[in-house]
Amino acid sequence: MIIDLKILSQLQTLFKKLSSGSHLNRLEEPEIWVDLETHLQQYETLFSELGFALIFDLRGFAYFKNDSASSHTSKITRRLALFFLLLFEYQADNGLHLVQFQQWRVDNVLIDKLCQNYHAIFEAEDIASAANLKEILDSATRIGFAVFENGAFRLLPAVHRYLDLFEELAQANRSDEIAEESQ
Amino acid sequence: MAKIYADEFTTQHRERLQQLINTELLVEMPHSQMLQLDENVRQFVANLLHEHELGLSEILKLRITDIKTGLEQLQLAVENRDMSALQRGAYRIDKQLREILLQLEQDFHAIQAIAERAKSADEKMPLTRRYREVLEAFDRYVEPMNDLMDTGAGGNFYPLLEHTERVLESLGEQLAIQGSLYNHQLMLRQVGFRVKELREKGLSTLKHATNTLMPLREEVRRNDKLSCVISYLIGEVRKKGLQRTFPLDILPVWRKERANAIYVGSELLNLMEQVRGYEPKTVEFPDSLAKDSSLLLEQINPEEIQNHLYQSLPVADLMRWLLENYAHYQDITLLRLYHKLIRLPNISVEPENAQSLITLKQIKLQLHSHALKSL
Repeated sequence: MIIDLKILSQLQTLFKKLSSGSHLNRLEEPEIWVDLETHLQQYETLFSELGFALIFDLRGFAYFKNDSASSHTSKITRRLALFFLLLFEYQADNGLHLVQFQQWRVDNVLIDKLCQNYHAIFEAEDIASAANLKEILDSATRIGFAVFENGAFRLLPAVHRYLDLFEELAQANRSDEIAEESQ
Repeated sequence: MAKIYADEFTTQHRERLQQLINTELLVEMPHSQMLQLDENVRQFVANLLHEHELGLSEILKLRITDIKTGLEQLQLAVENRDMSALQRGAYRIDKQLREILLQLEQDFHAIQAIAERAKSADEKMPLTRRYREVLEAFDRYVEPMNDLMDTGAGGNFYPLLEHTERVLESLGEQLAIQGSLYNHQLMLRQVGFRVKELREKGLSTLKHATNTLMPLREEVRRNDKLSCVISYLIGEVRKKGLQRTFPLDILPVWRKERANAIYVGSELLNLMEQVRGYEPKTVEFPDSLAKDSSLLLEQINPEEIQNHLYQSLPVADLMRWLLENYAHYQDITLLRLYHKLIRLPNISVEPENAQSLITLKQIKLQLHSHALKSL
């Protein structure tokens, strides 16, 4: 396959972003997204030759799949998973539309409330204060799971990765339980 | 009238009625004292009242039976060649079809409105309340409609329409064979067209309704599922802890490929490894060389020699005196001493007239030696 690098106009920016471990989100960087979507096959081939597995999700995000993580990353990702769990639970309790999480405004008030509501569970994970929660969100922002604007965080489509994981995990656990019960 | 305008008199009531009749809102019924609302006005008001109500498929079912009887009527009329009955039957079916069409139109708008209301409602409003209308509409309208419009054997309405079409066509053919009035054939054909129109319209309305409501309904379903999953997982976290609920190998991870940090390169590591096993090399220095006495300066004590000279004065020939006393010194030392001694103070120095030849260790000297006397 011959890849004309000239037509991959966003190659440099895209590679810089993805190889830094970050996620590309459609609505945040529409120009790069459009270029990636148009020349998806070329990009995929090019990256896979370089040893990167590009994952392109039609819900509006793309990233390099990676299996190994540094100890720092594994700590962050686990904390993020917990944070998303509790945030979604809290929002669901308030009757909010979970699938439309991109419209939420995660501001100080909300973070404080989360901290109060789930104090015990956060503390068990060494997340003692709202400041710790904000640190987690800051890391999420660097990786492309959220964006900080007008004094509040906003979740990005890449969060679907965690939601998918939740569903997968719950299903797997349930089928395990069913299997155990039937034995 | 008397109820609404209780404080007015009968004459005033009559005037008001007359006004309504004059504006043709009310129509006098023939052969009676009764008044009725103008048909157009009545329908308009009814439409206003029912605008956002979904025409229930129940009503549709009633209309279906009516159409069925209309069809039977038509068939009978053709058999009996009763043209007025034919007209009545056709009119009956046509009227029902038109009303169904109108209703479908209304449903179309009603569904659009429901979807828009659900989407645009305050997003802080609980989801179940926001989407309740959607869910109800789906259950009460779309599902039964689906059944009715089913093109297969299970459907009710759609097959009926097809049947109606076929019956009308065959009746039209019969009429043509019988050579009846063109007008009548035209009438049947018109009804036939309307059936076709309705069939398409019904399908498109249903499709539209499903397309509009289905995503919303799916959204609600996904939402419910997600919230269910999340509360379950939180329970797991509480029970088993975060680490065991989320094994690392399934969590999303990422890695920075181009690190900004500085790492120790392999070259440096090699170097450090070498340093760890460092043993100093022994270098053999050369032994010190044997002293070459001829090259080295001799140690002399000039003062002693000077004093010796002063005591030996007068000396007739300085060079001979030096040779007698200090012949063991090297030639160069003797010559230096010679020059030094002739410059001593308190001594008169006289060169000899005769030239003498003196052989030293390595050199021969030809000189006019000096005689020294004390002053």
